[in-house]
Amino acid sequence: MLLDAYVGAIKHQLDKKNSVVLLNFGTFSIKEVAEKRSYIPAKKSLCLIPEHSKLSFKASKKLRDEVSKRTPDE
Amino acid sequence: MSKVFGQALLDDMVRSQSLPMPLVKDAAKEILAVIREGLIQDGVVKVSNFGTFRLKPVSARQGINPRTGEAITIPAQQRVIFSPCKALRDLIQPVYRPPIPLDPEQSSPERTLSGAAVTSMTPRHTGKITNEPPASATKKTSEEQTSIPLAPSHSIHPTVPTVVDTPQEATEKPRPEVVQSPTRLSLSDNENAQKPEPTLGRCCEEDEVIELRVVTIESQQQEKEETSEIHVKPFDSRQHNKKEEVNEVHLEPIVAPLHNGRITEFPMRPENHSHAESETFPQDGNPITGDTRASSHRYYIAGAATVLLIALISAGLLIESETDINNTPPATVAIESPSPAMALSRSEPVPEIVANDRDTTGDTQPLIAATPVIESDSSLAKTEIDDQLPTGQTVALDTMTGNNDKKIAGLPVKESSKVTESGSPVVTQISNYYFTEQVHDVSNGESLWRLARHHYQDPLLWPHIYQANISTIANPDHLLVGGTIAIPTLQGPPDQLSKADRRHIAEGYYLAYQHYKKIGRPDALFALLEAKRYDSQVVEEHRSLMQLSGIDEIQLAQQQTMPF
Repeated sequence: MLLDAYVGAIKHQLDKKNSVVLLNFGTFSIKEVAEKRSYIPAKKSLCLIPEHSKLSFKASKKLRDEVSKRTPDE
Repeated sequence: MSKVFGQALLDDMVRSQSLPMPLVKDAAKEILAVIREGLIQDGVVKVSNFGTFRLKPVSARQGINPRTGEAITIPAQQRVIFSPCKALRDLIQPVYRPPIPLDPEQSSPERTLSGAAVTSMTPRHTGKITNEPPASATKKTSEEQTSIPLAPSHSIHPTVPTVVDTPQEATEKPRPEVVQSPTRLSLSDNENAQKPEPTLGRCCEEDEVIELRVVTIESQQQEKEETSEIHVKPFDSRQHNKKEEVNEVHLEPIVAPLHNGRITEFPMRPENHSHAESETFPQDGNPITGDTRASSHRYYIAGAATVLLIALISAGLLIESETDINNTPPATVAIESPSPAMALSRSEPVPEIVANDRDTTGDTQPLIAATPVIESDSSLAKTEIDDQLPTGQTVALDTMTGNNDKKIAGLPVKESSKVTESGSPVVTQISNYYFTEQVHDVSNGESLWRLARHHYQDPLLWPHIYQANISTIANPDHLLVGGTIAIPTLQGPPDQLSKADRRHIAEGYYLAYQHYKKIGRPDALFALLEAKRYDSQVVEEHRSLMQLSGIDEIQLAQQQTMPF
């Protein structure tokens, strides 16, 4: 319930094209990707990928450090 | 395109959902903590309706300090990658526009040319450390740049150190777009190659197998305990009993429930299944836990089937011997599992006797002589089983202090099985514990919920810790950093708690209910529901003190459990 509400709030902001900054965790932001040519392995040919926007997440330094230091137990 | 910070999100939630601010704040903190912990422990965290966080290892690479221009090595690290779910992707890019294929003629000559280019470049690929365009990407780049001047230049380069190589290449490339595309491709390729989930799944299954062994050994031990108490006398031989056994098996359904009711451990199992299922729902941050539980059900069902089998056969004996109840468990044990410990516990002159012969001997004498005595003992035997667990706990603590840290169920099993083989008198006393007591120093960001999740693998058991530390914890939602907490022993795994544990947890929930009621938290009743779920007796005992309102009573009766 609370998780849904929280995720919903993040989505709501992203829908408005805002980027969401969560301290000590990371940033969700929307990036516009320009039109580009790319090789698509499935089609085995060069394709023109139209411009689009995508969600990007950048982990904060703290999270990155914690995660990099991790020692998987078991 | 403005930045929104966490606090604004919380404000949103409070406004739209009309939830209390402190609750929302705690929840947000907890959600992020769960994701972080999940990443650290498992490497993958899936949030339903949102997306998946996963880790991608990045090896060390060469970089340049932009300020001074000197070369530095960037150490290897894990990169957090978030891939949004479909719904979120659609939200951000509502209209999907498929890639448009370019002319095939354009692509075909490139490929032939690039083939040569790729071969010349391969040594460079292995030598360099990072951000290489994959083979497919290099094809494209080479086609775009008239390729003939490039190919020789590459063939010369391999001897040159890699760092020098990259900037040159970048300058040569006519279009920046083309440079971008290979990196993107390489990302997706690596992600596919990584696939951490299947390996995790395998690990979990192995764990379950170990747990299954716990179940069977526990049940065996229980029955061993019974044998050691009841069978004081040596046994005589009686042959015909065995035949009758076989005949009587048809009649079991009538008596089987009786038998099940008598053994204290077994009837709890079906309840536990339902618990485990409902518990997976509230957490839902981690899909893997759900899987493990599902698979554990399978094994428990298998275990339950064997138990039922034992019950049926013993039921057959029951009918035959009519009055005598206590003799049956040992008989069944002998049939099902003639273990070395059993052989030791019995003082028989000839150890080579087949197990079946031994148990058929078991019934005759007590039938005649001991019936009145054991009849009265049957109630005692029940209580004794309960009592033995706490005493066994102390013994187990003494012997197992060395490996406090071992939380995996498999390890204690090995230990206990060793002990059974040695055949010492302690055998009947030790039952393997899921978790043995620990003292914990509270550090920043910890909560009872998280401690329970970490140590018991089930956050819903947090009142177990709360109840044990009721004198030091003023508010169960906030722990004081720097304080110490005793994390009590958990006798069984979370989906197979012992009776004492259940009661302990229920009491913890009741205390939590009292606290929440005092501070006026609206969801206080859920604590009471949880208490009822773990041990309804506790709620009944305190009912007179609680002064529940009518609505509360109804809710309590309905017993809807809510995550909280």
